[in-house]
Amino acid sequence: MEKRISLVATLLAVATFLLILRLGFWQVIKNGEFSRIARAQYLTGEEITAQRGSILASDGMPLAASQVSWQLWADPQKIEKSPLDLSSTFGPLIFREKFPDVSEEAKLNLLKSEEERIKKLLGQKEKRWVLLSDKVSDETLKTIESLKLAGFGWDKVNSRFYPEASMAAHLLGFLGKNEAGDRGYFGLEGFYDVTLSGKSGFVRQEEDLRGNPIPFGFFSNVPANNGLDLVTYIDRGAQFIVEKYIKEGVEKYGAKSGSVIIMKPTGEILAMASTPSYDPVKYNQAEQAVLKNPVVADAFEPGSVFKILVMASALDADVVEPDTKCDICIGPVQIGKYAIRTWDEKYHPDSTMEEVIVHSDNIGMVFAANRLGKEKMWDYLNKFGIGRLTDVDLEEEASPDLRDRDSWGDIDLATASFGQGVAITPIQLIRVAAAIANHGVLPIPRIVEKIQGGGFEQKVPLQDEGRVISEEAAGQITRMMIAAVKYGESKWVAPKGFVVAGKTGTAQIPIAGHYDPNKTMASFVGFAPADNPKFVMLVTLREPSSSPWASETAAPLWFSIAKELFPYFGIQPEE
Amino acid sequence: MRRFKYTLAFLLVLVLAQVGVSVAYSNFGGTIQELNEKAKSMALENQRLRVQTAKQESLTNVAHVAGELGFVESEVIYLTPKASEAQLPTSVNGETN
Repeated sequence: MEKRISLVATLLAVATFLLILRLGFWQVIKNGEFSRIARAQYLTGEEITAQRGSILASDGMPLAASQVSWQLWADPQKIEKSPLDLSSTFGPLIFREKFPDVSEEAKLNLLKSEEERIKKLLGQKEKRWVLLSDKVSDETLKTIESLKLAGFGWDKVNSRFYPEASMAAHLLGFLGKNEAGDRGYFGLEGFYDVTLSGKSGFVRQEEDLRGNPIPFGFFSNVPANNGLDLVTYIDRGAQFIVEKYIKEGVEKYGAKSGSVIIMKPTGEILAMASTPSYDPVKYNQAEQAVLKNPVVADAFEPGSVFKILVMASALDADVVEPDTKCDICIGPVQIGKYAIRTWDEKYHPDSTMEEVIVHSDNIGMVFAANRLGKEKMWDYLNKFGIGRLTDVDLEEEASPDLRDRDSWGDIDLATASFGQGVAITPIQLIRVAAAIANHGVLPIPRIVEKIQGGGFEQKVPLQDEGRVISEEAAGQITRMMIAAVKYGESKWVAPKGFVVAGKTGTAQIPIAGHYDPNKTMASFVGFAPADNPKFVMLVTLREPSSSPWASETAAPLWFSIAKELFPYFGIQPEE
Repeated sequence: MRRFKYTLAFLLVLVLAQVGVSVAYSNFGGTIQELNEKAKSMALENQRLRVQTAKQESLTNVAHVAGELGFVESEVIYLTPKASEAQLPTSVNGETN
């Protein structure tokens, strides 16, 4: 009996030992693996997406903001109705989102093809997931939800929203995608991408069987840092005006494209518009060439508007005075094998420098440039920022190079004096005019005034590149520009009572090594009121077909916009 | 024996209390979840309203509505020339009698 008892006891002891060993195996050796499996069951993690910052106009209204939209998908194996029925239900809903502004004629065909697309997708019974629309609004989603249809689902996605539609599209840029996710491209979206993006957060917590958080369980929260907002100098009213006028102007004068920039003499950009433009929401439907902002990315030979820079330089260098007489203005000037002529073949012997600007006299400009000399000319071009970036806060800014000082010949000096043979961007050109309006100090153009959000606020300082010409020279060239508006080719469009300083420019466009007289770049740059400028504005029109001359295209457009801006900015007539 | 009974009763009360608290906690998780969902949907609603406001206040929309209401752009704008200081009434110059 005792033997039996001791046998049972031994067996029990062995069994217990084995049990302990087994438990030890699960609890100690396999501990890590099982803990991981357990954690995966009750620990859940969710990324908290950072909201992209808004781009605000100077009055605080959004020009671009984030909104939640929904990605709509279906599981063809779970749908209960026929694809045909469902396509006629979903077709009009998705169509309305995709083509909000479509004309009645195009509507029928597009709607039909949309319904066909949905029917085809829902008919793919071998698939478990088909994307019906990558973006539907809340309203549409509510309608879909109310239908209570099986086999449909939706996921939240952040998208960009533009309350003013395509207004200021070039300036804003757009939000695209790359391998890493959303990314801003071009304009402010591109330049301030990191600032606008923010940083996503993450929440990890223990959840029970029903998916509810376990109180006092593990909880870790790394909050998302939303992107910061950009407050710009953009004046919505001025922007609205220039958008309207540049579209009308390009149409009216039969131009291929056109741009307008308005800035303060100290560099704050108030409005910037170009046409043709695009809808930033549908950036992928626009032509590649349209996406870049021509104001900062496209270079052109400026023509006569450039004369203000050359004359201002000559005045500053004291090589001419406003009343200095041109002693070569009697006829064409021969430089090597090239003959330089005036644009209208009219010659004005003994013209003063002011008259040279008023008549936009190429020979007079050659006279001033010769007095200045190649070296000084190059120095002034460099001082005025020609050949380098203006550092405006737009991603796609590019600058054509300024040729080396040593490579300049006599003909280069002569042609540059009236704005041919030199390439600049519109932003570089308006900066030259702004420097004159700013009493000789060259500003750095700036669009963003401050960066703010989440209790943070930082002003973006306005900067300049210092004095490029004396205050006296700036005053003298301003008076010449006033005379150019009053007595020059564009006097017929100048509004009475307002003192405006400005200059036209008609530059022939170089094509395949020669200038085409019928293809011109027409521009007008000016500021008002001339004695205390509230704004500097540049209008450029590429290849206007109604007339090649700026005095008949860009100048009237400039003054049409200015007439709207005078009351808007509270500028009263002087007389 | 009496002490044993009291201890047992006390332990029973503790056990019941723990069960009660655990039940309450498990329901509290649901409440937390509900509040989280509510906060999310309110944030979403806020954003939706902000978007609606921005849409309504956009100049593009204002111009569109103005056009529908029959407003037309003024063709003539009367501008008053700058008045010199001498022409201003004395009160504007800050002078007093």
